[in-house]
Amino acid sequence: MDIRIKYGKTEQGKFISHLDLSRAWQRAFRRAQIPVLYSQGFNPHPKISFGSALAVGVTSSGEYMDVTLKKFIPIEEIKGELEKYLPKGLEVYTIVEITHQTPSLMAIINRARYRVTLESYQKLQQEELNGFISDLLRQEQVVVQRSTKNGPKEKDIRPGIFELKGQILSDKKIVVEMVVETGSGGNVRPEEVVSALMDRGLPLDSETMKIHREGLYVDSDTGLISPLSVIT
Amino acid sequence: MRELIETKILPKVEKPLRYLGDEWNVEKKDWEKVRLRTVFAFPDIYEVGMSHLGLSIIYHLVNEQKDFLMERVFAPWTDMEEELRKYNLPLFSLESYKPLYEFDVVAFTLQYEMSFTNILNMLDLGKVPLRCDERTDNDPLVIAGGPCAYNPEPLADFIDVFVIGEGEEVTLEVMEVIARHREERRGKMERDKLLEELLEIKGIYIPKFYTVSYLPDGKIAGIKPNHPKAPAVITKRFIKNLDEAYFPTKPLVPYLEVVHDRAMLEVLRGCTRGCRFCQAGMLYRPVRERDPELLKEQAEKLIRNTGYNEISLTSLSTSDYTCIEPVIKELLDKYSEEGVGVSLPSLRVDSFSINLAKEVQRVRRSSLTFAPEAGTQRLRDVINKGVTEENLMKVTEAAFREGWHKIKLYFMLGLPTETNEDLDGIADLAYKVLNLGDRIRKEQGSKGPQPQVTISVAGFVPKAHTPFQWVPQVPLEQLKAKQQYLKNKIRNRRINYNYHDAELSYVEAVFAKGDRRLGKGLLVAWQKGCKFDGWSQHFKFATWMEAIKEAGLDPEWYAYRELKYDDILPWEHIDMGVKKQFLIKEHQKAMEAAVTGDCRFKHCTVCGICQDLDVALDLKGGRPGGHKN
Repeated sequence: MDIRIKYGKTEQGKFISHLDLSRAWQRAFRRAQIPVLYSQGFNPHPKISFGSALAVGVTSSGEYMDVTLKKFIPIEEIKGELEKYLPKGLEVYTIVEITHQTPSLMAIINRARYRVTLESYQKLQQEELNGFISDLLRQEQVVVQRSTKNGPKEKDIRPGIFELKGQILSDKKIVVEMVVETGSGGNVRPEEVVSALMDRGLPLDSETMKIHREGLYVDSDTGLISPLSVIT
Repeated sequence: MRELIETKILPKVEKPLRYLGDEWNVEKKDWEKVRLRTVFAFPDIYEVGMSHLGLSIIYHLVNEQKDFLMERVFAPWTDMEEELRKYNLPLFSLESYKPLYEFDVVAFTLQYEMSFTNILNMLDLGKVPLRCDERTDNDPLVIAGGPCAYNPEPLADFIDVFVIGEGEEVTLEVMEVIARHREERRGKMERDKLLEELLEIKGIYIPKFYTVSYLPDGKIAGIKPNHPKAPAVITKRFIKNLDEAYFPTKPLVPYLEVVHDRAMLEVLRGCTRGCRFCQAGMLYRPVRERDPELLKEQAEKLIRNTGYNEISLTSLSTSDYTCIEPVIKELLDKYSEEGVGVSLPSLRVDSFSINLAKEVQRVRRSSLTFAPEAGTQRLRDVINKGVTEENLMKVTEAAFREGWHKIKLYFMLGLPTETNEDLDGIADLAYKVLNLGDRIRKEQGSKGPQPQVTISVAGFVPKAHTPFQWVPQVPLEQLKAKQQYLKNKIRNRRINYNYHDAELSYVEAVFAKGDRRLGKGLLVAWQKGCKFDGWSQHFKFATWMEAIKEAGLDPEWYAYRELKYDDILPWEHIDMGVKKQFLIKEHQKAMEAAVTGDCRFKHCTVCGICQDLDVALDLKGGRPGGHKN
């Protein structure tokens, strides 16, 4: 039985790295006595595959994973058992049955929506914030520095920014929402977008930044759709 | 405080999960509903401490008591320490984020001499006064146990109370006395009074109640109690029956990958092989095995409660367990379907069978490690490591045939009576094993990866309570020369050669055989910035030498001096059950390269354990040699 799980990583779970995450899930499945299929061969490993990796320190309410089970178990039962046995910091929202033909998460996910909250050094007006954002979106190129194994590298993130909005929440608190590229085609990191805004003069305190991933999506003719609905 | 740490500090440090404490099976108890609040302090990082079975046993044992709570704290890595000091935040426990100074009891485990500076650093970060004589009635009681408590003297200035021996019973006795003491005083503690009350418990050593006097040449003249209730000799505590001892079957499951990332099931305690360098082999006598049926029950609970994909059958020498084959077979039959493997640490080449090799590889295969310890039969007889080259060849042959291609061999350098011939022997063994592997690979059609041999060589450190406690350590320069000599003998890229830092072994030897005066050296070393000494990137040898000399002490005197049988040893007042007379006899036999058998297979060696303590050898599968006790 193949299933696709939509799950979340809460404040308590935001420091679980991608590597730790996979282990945590395997252990939860074993505690729940939901038998995951193992690959054959020299070093058997469980058939679990994730969508796009979530950076350490980021919370999310829209992560996905595909799992192959050894046998059929009713969806509600799987969900109920996992809820009992998942460690703090992880929560399961929706599970759907998929088929062998369902394209993999890696192959389809190409958009991520983030919500970044942080504080500004001084009180901002909504129009000011909008001004910075539309200025950024008007640019043909937004070049950021990335450190790679072979030293720093420049990358233009502008083509990977599809939506960008800002809102004043209270006195100094603001929220920046964005849809950016993710997956095999390239990744734009939310903190890069925020620092591009800061480079243009937006007075934000990056130490207060909290990043939340609202979801991962598939871009289609009809707009963004959930990986849960790409099932054939 | 938690908010500040989580938002400002944790995002900046490496592996923040080290400091979060939300693991599966964590125990978070209400501070207001218990009689005593304690914290288990592990003087190394989270990943090391969480791999330690002793922590798991004591932590869950205490938390299963309605009246007591026990939280955890580990040595913060240097990046975390920097942040804590920057924000002037105290070191805190993982469960409740309370500072160490708010606990009634801070309980350290002493696994390794080179973690002593971390104890001082953790106390300092936790805002607990470092020295016993600086602590007031409002400070926590600092207690310690574990193998290094058998020579407690270098820590006598800093630890109020040592617990000698196995902790399953005595820990709760100590806690009950402290809880009662506080209740009688409306939650307050009168430190001096409490220490006196703790003298009622057997196996408790309170350094304050002992006066150490010295001879003009620096040797010890006497270690005498200065309190009428303090016993002249403190005898270790032990568990008579391992089947009745507490064992945690709902242990913590870390998110973070730790050193031993698996369920641990203790199959037996103690080892009577009698290796003369081995402290654990003397301290944990006699051998007590756990019933195979009980093990199966415990394994089932462990797997269900943790979800681990591996269960490790732990002990000092698991292949010696008399029921090992049926237990492994049953565990694998039952759990390999679920992807759960069984692993065995510490294999002996003389009791590791081909069958066992086949069994454990059914699920997962890894490299195999054996410990011949010395390169020649003569030297193996000196140290009483009863294995032969034939044993090693037989077992590695079986391993290669069953598909292992990586063999790891542990040795020691600087053993008593060692010559270059013994070092040549190490290199020869490595080559012989590699050649054997090559031959078998060829026979099997030259498929798969090429065989590899790793030889890992540690510097010999004479330890208290062993037949080699009187033996001097080989001087540093000679030890380094031996390392190089061996290095030059190994010229094959499929033989990896690792050796330990000789300077670290030297400082370890100073403390392993150290006395109470060394506390000052330890304090100065910490003040000069020594910590995480067991981590090569942090070990500051020159600083250590300076510190010990500033304390007016000579490190060479401690490490290189040959002790006499009638010298009063710094640990003379600690009785671990094995008699001094037995250790002397073993030391003498070592010098004649004469071996002593294992009482499980041959006659009783009269080490003193079963004669003097109310305990006996407990083998579930009967005595392998068919002898009767």
